Amino acid sequence: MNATDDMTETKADVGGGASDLLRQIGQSKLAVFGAFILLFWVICAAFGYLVVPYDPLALDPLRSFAPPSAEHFFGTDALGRDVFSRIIVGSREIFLVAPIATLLGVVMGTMVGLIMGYFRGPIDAVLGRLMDAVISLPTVVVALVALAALGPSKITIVLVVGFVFLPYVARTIRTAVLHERELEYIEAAKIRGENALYIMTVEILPNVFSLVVVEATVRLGYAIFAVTTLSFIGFGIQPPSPDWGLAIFEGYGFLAAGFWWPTLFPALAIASLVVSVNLLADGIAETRGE
Amino acid sequence: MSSQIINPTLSVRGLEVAYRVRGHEHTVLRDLSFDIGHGESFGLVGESGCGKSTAAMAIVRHLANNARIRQGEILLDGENLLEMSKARLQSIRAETISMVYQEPGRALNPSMRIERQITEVYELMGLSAGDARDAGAEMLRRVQILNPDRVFNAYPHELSGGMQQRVIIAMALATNPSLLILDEPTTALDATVGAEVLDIVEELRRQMGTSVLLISHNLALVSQMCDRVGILYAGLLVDQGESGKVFSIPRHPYTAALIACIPDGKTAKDGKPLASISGTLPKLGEALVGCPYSDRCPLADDRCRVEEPPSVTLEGRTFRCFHYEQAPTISQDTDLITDGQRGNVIDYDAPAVLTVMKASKTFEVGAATFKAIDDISLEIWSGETLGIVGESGSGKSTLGRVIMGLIKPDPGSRIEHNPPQETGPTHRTRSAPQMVFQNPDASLNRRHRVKYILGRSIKKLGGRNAVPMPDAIRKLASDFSLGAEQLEKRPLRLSGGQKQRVAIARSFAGDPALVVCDEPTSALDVSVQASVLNLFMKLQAENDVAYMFISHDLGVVRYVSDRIAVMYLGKIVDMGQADEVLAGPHHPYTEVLLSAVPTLDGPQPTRIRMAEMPAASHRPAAGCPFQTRCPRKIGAIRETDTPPFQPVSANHRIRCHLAAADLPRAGPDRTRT
Amino acid sequence: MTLGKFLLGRLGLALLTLWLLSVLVFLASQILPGDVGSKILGPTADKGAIAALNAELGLDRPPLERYIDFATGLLRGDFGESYSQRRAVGPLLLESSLRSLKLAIVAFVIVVPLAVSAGVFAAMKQGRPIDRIITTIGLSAMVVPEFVSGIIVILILGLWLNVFPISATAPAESGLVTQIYHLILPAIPLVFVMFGYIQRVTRASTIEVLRSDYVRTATLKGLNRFTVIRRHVLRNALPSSVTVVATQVGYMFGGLVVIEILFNYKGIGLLLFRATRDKDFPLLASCVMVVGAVYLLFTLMGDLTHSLLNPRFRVGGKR
Repeated sequence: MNATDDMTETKADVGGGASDLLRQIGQSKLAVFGAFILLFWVICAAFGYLVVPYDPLALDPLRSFAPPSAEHFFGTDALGRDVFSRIIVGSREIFLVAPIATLLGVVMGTMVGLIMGYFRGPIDAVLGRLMDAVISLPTVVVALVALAALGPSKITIVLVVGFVFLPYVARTIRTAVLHERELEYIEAAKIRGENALYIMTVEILPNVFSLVVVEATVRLGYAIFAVTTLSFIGFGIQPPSPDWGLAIFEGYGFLAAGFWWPTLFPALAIASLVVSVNLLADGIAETRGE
Repeated sequence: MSSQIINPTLSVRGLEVAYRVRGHEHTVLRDLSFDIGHGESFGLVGESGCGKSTAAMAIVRHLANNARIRQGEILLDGENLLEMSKARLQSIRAETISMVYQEPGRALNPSMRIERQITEVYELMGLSAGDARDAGAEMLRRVQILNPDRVFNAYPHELSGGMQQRVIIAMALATNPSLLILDEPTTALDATVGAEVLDIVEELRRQMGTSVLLISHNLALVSQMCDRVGILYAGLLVDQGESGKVFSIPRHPYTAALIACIPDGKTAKDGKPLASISGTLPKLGEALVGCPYSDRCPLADDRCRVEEPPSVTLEGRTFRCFHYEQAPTISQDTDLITDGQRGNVIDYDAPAVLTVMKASKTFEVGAATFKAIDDISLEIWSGETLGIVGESGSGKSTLGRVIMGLIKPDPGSRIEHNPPQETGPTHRTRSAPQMVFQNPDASLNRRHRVKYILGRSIKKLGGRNAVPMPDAIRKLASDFSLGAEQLEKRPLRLSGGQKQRVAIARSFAGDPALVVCDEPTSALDVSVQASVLNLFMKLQAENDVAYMFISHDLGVVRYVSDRIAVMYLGKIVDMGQADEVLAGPHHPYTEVLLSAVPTLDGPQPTRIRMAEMPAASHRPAAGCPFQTRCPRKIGAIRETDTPPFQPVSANHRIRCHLAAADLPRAGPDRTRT
Repeated sequence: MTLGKFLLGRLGLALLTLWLLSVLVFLASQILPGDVGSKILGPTADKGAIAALNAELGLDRPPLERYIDFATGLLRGDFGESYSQRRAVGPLLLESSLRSLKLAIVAFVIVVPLAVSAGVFAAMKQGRPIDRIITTIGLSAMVVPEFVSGIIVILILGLWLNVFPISATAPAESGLVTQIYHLILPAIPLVFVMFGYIQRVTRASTIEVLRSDYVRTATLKGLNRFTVIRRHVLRNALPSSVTVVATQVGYMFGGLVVIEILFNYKGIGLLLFRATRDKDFPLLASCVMVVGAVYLLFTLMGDLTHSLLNPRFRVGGKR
């Protein structure tokens, strides 16, 4: 019995389709701004190699540490490579690694979260404790140790970051599943004789799906965060890649000497990318109704 | 000759309120005008979407941010509330107007002790801390809380719903306000508890001379409590006047229809079908042309559809209808889906469809255990309805789920379906038992379209048949008045009645022998409830299906049931043929229940009081479950021996220590005709 | 269930998790390739010498035996000897932990009051531009890696504007104030990362409380807005912030590693990094266990404070 009149402004009763989603995102200026920056970097990643003024890998030791000028917009680094070209092209590195790691983590995390939330009992308890153990360490530390053991390469980074994200995604999904399973449509399904797999995938999953999408976009931001950090400490993408984190790793020792440009520009590039992804993620999260 | 009230406490004049949603303005209340005199109680009645809660919020000036009062005045003792300064408004709230609303548990600060929450009110009036405490304790005693110190020390979640509401009433009346607003104050409480709460309010307000504005969807309640009443439809007051007169001589077809929809004590399913109102309730803020009721009204003509009837005052009644003279005598429209045979002939010699023997279910809560259902035995036959009545904690929902196989009962319980059924994730037969739940928002998967919901049920329950799926879905849908348009939608886009019909249709995709209905109409508006109940009865007449109909609403149970079982704290205390259970002799608990239900017409029952409901952990371990509250308790033996089932007639058993002759009996007006 | 029982349960859970962690850490170390002996003596060393060193370090015993040694050692407080530095791990851990602690405290002292009040403020101005600005800033800062904001902050505040010293380690024998002064620059990136999350959760929790029925009751009683916030809103909105702050300790460790590397500050983060790089198992394992234990401890304290503040939680649910 609906006793109160509710006409609060909720955005939550969207149909749920993709076109609705896009329209809603379009309404948030920040999300659109984020989308544009992201798009810019995606284009750089795809076509960068075709348009840059210099070969990003070309060494020129005589011209090392040239400050920014008309010739080299962002100057040159310790090995005489053009920083501007390396920035443009370096975007590809991160796009090869972070999204796949995110996908891996989100897909596996969703499956685990569904299982834990639906079955509860011993499965949930055991898996839960394992997840807690992993979560008790910061992601960077776990990734660091794992990569030290496995040796850093693009593939190992993807695998490690994906697995490290699994518990976080699983926990979020699990909470949502716990809520859903109390609703009567689950009982109605059991009365029909549906089995667990059907209930998890056909009944529950569609209701948590928009949460999965939000998690995925948020995790993407963190994946970029993690990968660049790992590169910075030397356990990420390896030289001579123009990866931004790696560039900072190679250059930060020279900051005090006054050579700021090989380090600042990659830093700004990273900042712009993660912020744009996060703004977009926030825009999507808003469409679910805050 | 209008009956203007001299010096009204509250005078609402021409109030118009609109909400702004996504850039559009929706008018929710229009030209609302009514007066409440000193010491008078006024009821504002309506179904969902009529705007009644908005009216209350407007009066206390606590509307949402996106609401706007477009025009009108609200005069409190002559002062216009809409033009007051913030400071003045604050002091009015502290001293002159008080409000009580629906869920008492949520209205109290969960991390503050009751004492502080009450003394706060007094301190606002200028009392010192010590005086505030004393005054608070005194007020608690006036609301029948006998041990104020214990309650003072408690946190809200430690109190029962009834206690919480009484605390809130104490806080509300502490300041001796001129106006007390009650917004659905008992909807979230059990009938017996709510009845006591309202008695207290009534008693106190007579003592204090407070004016009351009661907002409710429950007509019987309003007619019992209020001197005057106003019926709200789509934001307009369509009928207003003295409550006795409004309900006996309605001046608007909607009032007449509402009255006819409610199952009272007199009709049963094998008599006339319940009247219901065709069409659907307008949504909150929907814009309509002409009279808002015209698309559902049997008296509507072209003029009604185009021109909105003005407010007319005649002989103390104010209404908006061109055809007001004919309103009292409309023969009520019965639903399209109620044609067909009424009533069933039940063959009690055939094997029962459901047999339950000594079913129990024990739950563990922390270290303690409690029995949600205890030693339940019953049978249900084809084509009959067994009504299960009980309040919260009675175990009726657990019983339903145990029967459906959703909860495993304790060892030793026997639950047999006929024909025999499997539980668990396996294939179901066509005759598998089904269940209809209370809240279709939760029982329908909100991400699935209606056609998928029905199709899946047909696939799992329909057995093998040659009909291709799209046709089968269409047929099932049309049997339940759902059209192609509804099939494509998701549940959120349907009305309450449509959603519940989808849930029922889904249950009848096969050919169930038994359907367990767990409060299937409790979440629906009155007018919608009637059509859903008619639907249930029609299905029973056509298919000979048995129902276990669980409800807390005695009126509904009376209407649908052949036999009734009354449950209390996990046990059945009274069971038999419906008219015998209702006429008496009664179990003492049944007697209390019956006395708590207000009637729309005729004399109100004399209320029988019970002591406070114990906490779940304080259930009596032995003896009669009702011993802690029974007004007819005869002694200590009741605490040790479980009362036996005494037959008081061939079809009626009562679990009580009292001798059959001593059991209470209700008066003749309680029987069904 | 009483508070005591609840805490005991939580403690047990934490210990179990800690134990699991020790097993995981040990297992991880088993797959660290390369044997320690050759790492220490160098690639050109004699095979026999390497073998002898490995035997001396006890690396040729079976894994289960080594795990038991490790675990019991931890319990006794004996953390073994670092392979790379050839000193006892225990004191090394202690020194480094203390240094990191100072940095962490500086960061927390800045971020917690700032983020919590920003969250409450944003909630009260919900929907207005200032709310969007604060929340967006928090959101953006949250996701920028610490080393990125660290570099920017070093350049701008440290080198160009010269407001703060870029060396995190104050000169020896400096007083507390000077030490803190040196720690502010490295603390800023940590503040950025933690601010967003704490602010968000506080804001969400405050909004929910503001919308609640009991705040409506308080307002309709005639209390003024300020009193309503002070008496009714805060005590129900803040407990969730407490839990969040506790979990931030975990995230902060990741930041500590990065910041300590960037600033070459000899805290436990830098120690852990070097241990990993040098495959120094005793050091690495101990660092990881300390990090895990501290996180679990803080989560436990967070739960404790939360339940102290929330009576319903304490007494254990509905009647």
